Amino acid sequence: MKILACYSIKGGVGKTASAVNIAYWAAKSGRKTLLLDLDPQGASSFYFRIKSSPKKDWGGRFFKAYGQILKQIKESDYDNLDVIPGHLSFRNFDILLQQIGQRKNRLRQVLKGLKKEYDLIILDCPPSISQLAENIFTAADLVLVPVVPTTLSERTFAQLTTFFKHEDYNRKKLIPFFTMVDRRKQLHRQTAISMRKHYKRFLRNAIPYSTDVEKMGIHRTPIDIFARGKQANKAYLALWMEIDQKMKDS
Amino acid sequence: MLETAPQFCYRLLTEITLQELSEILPKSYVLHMVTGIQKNLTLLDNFDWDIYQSGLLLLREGKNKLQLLDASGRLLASDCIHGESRFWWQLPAGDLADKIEKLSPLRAFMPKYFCQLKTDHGTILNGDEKIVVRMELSTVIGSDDQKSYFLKMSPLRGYQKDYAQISKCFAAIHSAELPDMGLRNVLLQSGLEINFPEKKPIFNLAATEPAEAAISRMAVKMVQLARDQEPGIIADIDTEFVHQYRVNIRKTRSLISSFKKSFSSERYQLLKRELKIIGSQTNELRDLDVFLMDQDYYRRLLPENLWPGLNQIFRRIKRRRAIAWKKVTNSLTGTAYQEQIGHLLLTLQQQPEFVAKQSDSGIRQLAGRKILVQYQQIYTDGMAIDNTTPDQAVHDLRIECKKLRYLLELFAELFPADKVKQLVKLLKVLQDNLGRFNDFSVQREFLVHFGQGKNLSADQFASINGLAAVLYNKQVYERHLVAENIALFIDKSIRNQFNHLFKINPKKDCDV
Repeated sequence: MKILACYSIKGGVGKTASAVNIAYWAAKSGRKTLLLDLDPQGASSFYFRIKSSPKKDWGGRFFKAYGQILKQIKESDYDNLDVIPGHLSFRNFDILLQQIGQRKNRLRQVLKGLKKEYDLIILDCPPSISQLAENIFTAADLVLVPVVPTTLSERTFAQLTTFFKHEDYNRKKLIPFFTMVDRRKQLHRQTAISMRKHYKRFLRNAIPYSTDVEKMGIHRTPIDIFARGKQANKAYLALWMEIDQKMKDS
Repeated sequence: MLETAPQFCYRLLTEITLQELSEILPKSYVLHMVTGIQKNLTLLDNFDWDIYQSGLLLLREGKNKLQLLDASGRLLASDCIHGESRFWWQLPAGDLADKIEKLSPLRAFMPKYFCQLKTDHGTILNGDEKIVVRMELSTVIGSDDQKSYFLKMSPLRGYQKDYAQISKCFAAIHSAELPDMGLRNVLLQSGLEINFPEKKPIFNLAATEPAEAAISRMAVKMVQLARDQEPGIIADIDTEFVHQYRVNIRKTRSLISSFKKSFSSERYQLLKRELKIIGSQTNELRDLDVFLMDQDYYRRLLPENLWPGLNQIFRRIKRRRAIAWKKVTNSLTGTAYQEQIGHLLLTLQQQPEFVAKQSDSGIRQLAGRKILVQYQQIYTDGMAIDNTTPDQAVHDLRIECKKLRYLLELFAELFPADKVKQLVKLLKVLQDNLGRFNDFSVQREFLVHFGQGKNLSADQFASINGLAAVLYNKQVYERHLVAENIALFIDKSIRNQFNHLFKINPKKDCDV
């Protein structure tokens, strides 16, 4: 079982859209896949039309036992793809992790229990650099980082790599890729070129800026369901195939 | 562990339309159905239902699509067929043909059941338009136009509460729960009837049953089993019908002959005579069948330049086989045979006379004794055979081994099954060797005899001579193995096993 995290310190960079479409293509290619929506906003669950648990504080039991997680798994409308929907109580994960005391590997331990059930777990992460984020960095085999080729995104990605260096995380886990790329904009083109020069691990495939990605919120499905032939859909498929190869190589 | 998603299967006792299903649902749910295509399905299997008995289904969809499926309906192999395909070797080379070869190497597959199947797929969506339950509604129209309806509901993981709510409403439908809705189960529920023919008869012998009564009863059953093959021989479905017919008649002859002292001399002579006539009428047909079945084998034995002659020979044999089959068919449908076999059965079904020496001996003890005597016969004959003994002695030993095999198999139910099975296995090693030795000899003689016929071309002569030479070499090779295999079978440990298993109860001895 492999664990992929879709993570960025910055919000609005296409984390959730990427997590949803990558999970969809992974499942479609035959991997038993679980998408774990760690974001209290529950946006990726929304895209799959899956509601979060009505129990107010289920997040409080998240790190306690693997059985608690099993109860929350929901089958999506697509073969091989299950989802654990996000929950408002997930906002308290940092406090919980503090209380448990095992600072960095608690998430990995909990997810290890699912290795017989799934080939791949995809974590849709909230945008913060917190205790939960450190658990994510420990648990994940690869940390996919969507980057919009703008100055601000470049800066936050640099912050992340510095954090990895200082905290002694394996920097090879960090796999950035460009999202919301508008090739008509000179800034996008220049930033992309300069960042690729600087960070060699950038994925070759990038996700273009597309209204189809935005329309996911209207259709509440992965792009392939409503815009099969469109550029953004093709880009996500290509991105998944590249990630799949990276996982095999890693 | 994550629980496997449950499935709930029902046979609906009355027809229900999609509209009605929709109306039954609670208001917060919506049913989406996709109407399936109606398929015409024919279930195929051989006389013994070997494919079905392996847990599989061979289905012809429409006219040309042949599919091998598992019991659940999962496709294992498929191919397109053109024209009549009744044997694996008539299918296009590939996965399907390979799989059928293993399941039915000799027997033809024939239509067993016909139906029309339509499966509509559906989903039940909640207020968020999220699928919470998947559905399958199948309609089967059997050969008798009888309609059967099946419903499968599969709640998605995490949506059991929704399913509970939906299933409460569905409880109003008149239905019976099924363990599964695999294709095999659906067909069985829709009128498919399986009648396995009895391959190895069970006689329900009592240990102390008087021999004459027991042997007569056994013989009746075996003659009836032989008769079950007659329609297949007449329809010329496959070569196994003649083979099984002959095996059953041969076993009956062997049984009557081994227990001749249980019958009055007149009754024994009558049975012996009639069985001999009945058995011999299929001799030629079987010989030709065996030769034709091994066409590819013979071809591989010869260099390619001799194949044209061989092909001509096979064509001639095929013509002869057609004549032989016609002769057998005429005989089986003729009044003389009907009277003869009717008379045979009548004789066997008469009250036992109990006038012969062993008429009222207990069958278990007598059978055990016969087996031991037969083993002793093989021991004595076998001891006398070495690499220089004339071939006739080896042929005779083969016959004796066959008699022992029949006795072991026919009376297996009176003795510990696993031990008898083990002895049969040991005997089979020797029998296989002797069988091959005999086959090569018979085939060679057949060819030599064939070569003496008229109008043979030079090509045919060359093939016959070439094949005869190869078969002779193979026969010599098998002959070298005979002494060694005999030694293994008459080894002290096996002798002890026979004595231990079939020893006579000293309290009630009987004269053999």
